[in-house]
Amino acid sequence: MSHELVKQTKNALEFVQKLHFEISYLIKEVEGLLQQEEESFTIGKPSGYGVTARTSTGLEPINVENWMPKTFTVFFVPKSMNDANKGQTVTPITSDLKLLLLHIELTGKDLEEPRVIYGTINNISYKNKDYTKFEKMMWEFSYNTKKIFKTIPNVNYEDGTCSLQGKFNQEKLFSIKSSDDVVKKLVDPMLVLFREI
Amino acid sequence: MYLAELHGKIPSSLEDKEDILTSNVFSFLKYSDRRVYLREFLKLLALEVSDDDLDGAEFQFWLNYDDKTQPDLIIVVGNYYLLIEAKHLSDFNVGGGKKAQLLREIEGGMNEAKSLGKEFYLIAVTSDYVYQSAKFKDVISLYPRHLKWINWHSISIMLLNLLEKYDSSLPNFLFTTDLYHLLAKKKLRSFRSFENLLGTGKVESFHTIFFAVDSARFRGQFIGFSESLSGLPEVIKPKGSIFYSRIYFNGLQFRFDVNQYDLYRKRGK
Repeated sequence: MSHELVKQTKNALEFVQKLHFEISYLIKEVEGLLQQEEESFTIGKPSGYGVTARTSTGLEPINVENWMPKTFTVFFVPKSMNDANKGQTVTPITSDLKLLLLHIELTGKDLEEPRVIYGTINNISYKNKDYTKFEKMMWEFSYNTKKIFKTIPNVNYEDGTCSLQGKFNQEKLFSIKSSDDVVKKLVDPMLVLFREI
Repeated sequence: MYLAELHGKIPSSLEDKEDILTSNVFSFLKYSDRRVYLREFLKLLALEVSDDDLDGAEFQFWLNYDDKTQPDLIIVVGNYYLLIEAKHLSDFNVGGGKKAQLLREIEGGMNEAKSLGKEFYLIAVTSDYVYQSAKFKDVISLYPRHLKWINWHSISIMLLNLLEKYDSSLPNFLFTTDLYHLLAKKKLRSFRSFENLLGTGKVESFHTIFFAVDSARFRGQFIGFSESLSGLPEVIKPKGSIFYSRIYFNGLQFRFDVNQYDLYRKRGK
């Protein structure tokens, strides 16, 4: 039993680690491809070069459930619309701000299989006047995933802190099998959505 | 050089130099076990050669042709004369009054290959995630059969596949590991299908590694992994979720009566 448990623990964690690595390379590939576009997109860095994910180290069961992240969100914005400072970006929330969002969801109550949601966001406003940069809003996509994306392809979300609109598509995560798929199933459709607004 | 780069010990102005990248990657193919690595590299190009051909392969870095054209590398292996032109963050020279770089190299290379009685290919290596036909428009129109394209990413994936397949029994394992990490650091490791996660044969899983919904009861005390996880199903290939299920926690009955149990071990028991 002990041997099986050791093997099982190792395998489970190794699998999750590999899954996370592959997701990171998928995001980096989208980043690299968007960077080459005429808008010269740059990845948002709310707290450094990373994804936004809901995690916890709390001991209450509801928190333990979040020891392992299940969603990963990043955004991309034309280089002209943000500034970088000490490894972080500042994307001012202005009336003409529009950006691209990539949201990967591995599991969820009503989710049959992992999916990637991608699209564009505009008409962004933050109700707290102290918050002036989009980076501050990224937690919304981890904590209010279901509410925000329940009406895709069209998103018209508002809560006590912010409001935003957007157009999104979704794709089964595991249907993306190559760099060609990344271009055809994610990057090209993202750019179409972005450019038609 | 790998380690200095991996640890950020060389000036950033040198890090992105494509000649250093070319040297790092193709020196590896020259000095490592050619029957493994050079063979795999040639397979990426749909070229097959014998073991003897691999052992006898000649590498000529930055050779000058008569017209001063200087390809990054020539590999003469078996029946093939391969001219490697590698780019990282720059594009191929389009000429600027002269003939475009790739066309000059193809013509010089074809002459050399012909004199040696070899089959000629130009191998263009770039950092593009996917093939960019616009970069090779002229070459394709004039020499469609002689151009092969790969990206650096496919070389890093090649190394990763070998590392995963053979692990530490792979020849030049440490050398390969460092080169793979170097390419990944340079963002030259592309996305690979998620299907590869199941391909190693190492990943096996219970349906769930957590307490079973049916039999679990809230004990309020840690009882040890062996006991609490015993009786779970046999280890099988992963099909089910390996993540926490909210159903489990919702199904718990929080009716723990503190008075019924000794929460702490008593001395002497």
